[in-house]
Amino acid sequence: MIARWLAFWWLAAPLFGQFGFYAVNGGAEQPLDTSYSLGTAGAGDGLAQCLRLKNIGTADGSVSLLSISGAGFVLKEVPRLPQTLPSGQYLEFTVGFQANDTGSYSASLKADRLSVFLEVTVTPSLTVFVAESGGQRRLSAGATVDFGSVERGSQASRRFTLSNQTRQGLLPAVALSGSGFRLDSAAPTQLAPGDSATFTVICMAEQAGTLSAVLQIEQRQITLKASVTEPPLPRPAIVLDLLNAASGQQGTVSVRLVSAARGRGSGKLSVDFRSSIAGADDPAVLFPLTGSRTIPVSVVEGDTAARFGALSAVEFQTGTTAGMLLFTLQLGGFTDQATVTVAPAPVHLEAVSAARSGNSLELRISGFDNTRTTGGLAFTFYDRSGVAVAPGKIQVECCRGFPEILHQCQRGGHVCAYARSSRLPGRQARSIARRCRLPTRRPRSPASRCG
Amino acid sequence: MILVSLCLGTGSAQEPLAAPLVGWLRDGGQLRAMYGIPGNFLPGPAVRDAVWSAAFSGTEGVVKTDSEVITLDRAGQPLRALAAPSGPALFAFDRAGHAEWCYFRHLRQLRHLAGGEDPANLSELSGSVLALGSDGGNANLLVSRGAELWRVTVSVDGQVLAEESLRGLPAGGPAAVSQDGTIVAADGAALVVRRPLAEDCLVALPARAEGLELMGEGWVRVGQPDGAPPLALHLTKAGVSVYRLPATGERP
Repeated sequence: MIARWLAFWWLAAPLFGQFGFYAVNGGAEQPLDTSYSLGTAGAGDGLAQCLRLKNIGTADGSVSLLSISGAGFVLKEVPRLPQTLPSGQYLEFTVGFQANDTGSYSASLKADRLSVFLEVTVTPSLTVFVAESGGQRRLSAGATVDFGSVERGSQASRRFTLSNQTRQGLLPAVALSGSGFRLDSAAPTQLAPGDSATFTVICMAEQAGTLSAVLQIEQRQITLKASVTEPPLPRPAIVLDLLNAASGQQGTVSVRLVSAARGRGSGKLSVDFRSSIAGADDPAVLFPLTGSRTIPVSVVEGDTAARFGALSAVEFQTGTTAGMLLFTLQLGGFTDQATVTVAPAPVHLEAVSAARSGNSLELRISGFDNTRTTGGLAFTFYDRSGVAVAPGKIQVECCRGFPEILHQCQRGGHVCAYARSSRLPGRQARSIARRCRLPTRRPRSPASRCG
Repeated sequence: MILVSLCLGTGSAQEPLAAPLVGWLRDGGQLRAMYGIPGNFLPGPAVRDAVWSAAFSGTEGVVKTDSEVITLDRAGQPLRALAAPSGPALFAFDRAGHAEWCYFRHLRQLRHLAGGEDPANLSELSGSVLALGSDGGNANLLVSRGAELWRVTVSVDGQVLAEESLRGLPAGGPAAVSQDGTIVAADGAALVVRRPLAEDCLVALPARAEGLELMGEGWVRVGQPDGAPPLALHLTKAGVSVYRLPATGERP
């Protein structure tokens, strides 16, 4: 039995000799000898130290136990054991400490048969509270005070209380580092046993985003943070300015705010077209400024109307198809809508010109049919006295398939279609041109291009 | 929207239906057609790049590239081309809408587009030429001299035939002359329109005019600052209207 026990130690001793404890501070390793001081803590404050158990030998080593013994000391984030550590690898863990009474504290940290002596000195210190939710929360080192969500341009504050619950007078050392926070009043300079004093920290929300600072009270570091948000925008409303709710119009649209904006924001205005004709769209329904059906909008402080870039209003086109234009604004969490209804209308002729060209009459008519129901054209020429010129009504089957042609037009472009007209004797063409005083053009070949 | 062109007669039995052409314009250095009717526009695709200057009468057009002046038909197809110096140019059309004059701004040269004459050197002409018009075989130059705008009539060989002060018209901005003699002159974010035998008309713009170019019969392209799409000034017997032309995909 004795021989077996000696054999175990003969085999095991070299293995534990290949491990070492290290303290990790700021990413750097510091090898620990037989003892290590974790530093000084205020009474009631916590301390934490990151440590490593590292295999410093050349062979694999096994770790089966990690423990600490000592009042106020605890192990945190302990890795699962047993483990075999290859050469150069380590286990990382944390030693925590907290004690309410002043004095010197020590503990023994062990990894199997390797051990190190840890020490902490607890000094008299102030007790710190912050007023929250109608009560007082005690703050220890490393605590965080969250100012919550603060609107840009406004302020939020938290009141801190320093209480001397020790038997000796203390000199509070209070400092604040970081932007976006400031001490509202000077911190107290001396606190007798049993006394307390308050001071206020103000968060100044000047830019949207996250604010963070460190409040140092004696050796304690307390993190302050706040989330700065934009003030909500006032409710926006779409304002349409369109003299004639009909096809072929350019109107303007603007966005009014119910009150001056306290913050800034952005969104978009879109126009959707709901055609009265099944399956038809109209690409001319758009905002010319963007050449599309959406346009970005923005608001800055003081605005009473949203901006479209540098403009306070932008044009929109009603297209040439009966239907409904639905404007939708999304801005600052609000959605507003407005509509323009374009009613079906008779064929609109924008321009008509006529000329005699050799033995033919050339008519050029520009316009639109917002119902896409045109089927045929009939032309009657009148002289200046209003008398119909022979042969009277000339029926032209030019528009067979008009709806299909228009559908093609709506797909973006231009389309050619050819129609065979009624044939007129050359003398009739000349007669119409003469009686209607139509200009004469040089004969030209039929146009065959569409743009 | 659709354009109906019909031929009633014995000579031609077929004619197209097509989107109505408002005109052709320069947009970010590209030439493209603009279709539609007043207040309802759709841009066509770019058909030519690197265009320094462009003007269209509704009958013909002229574009200036880095090395050529190209006359185009109504459909934008080239009719003829002339070698030209680099830089922008001004153009003028006769009353029938045919391209007639070209003025090379950098060299201060005037060229008759139909004739074979050498360009006339106008470097001795005082003032800055803002626009070009046609006057029965002669060229009408709108010239900025200090705070005044002048109309200077020049023959094909560069002889100054007449000069006239155009009182009341701004001289500090771009200008244009249509084939019917209408003058459009920019004054910041406003345009003054002067038609023969009519009172001047003042037209407000959303922003200052940056360049005026004829883009079709009765249509003037009004450039806008900060990359905004251009405006279109429509001159009709009934009055003057301004529209915003749709932006194109190439716009930054």
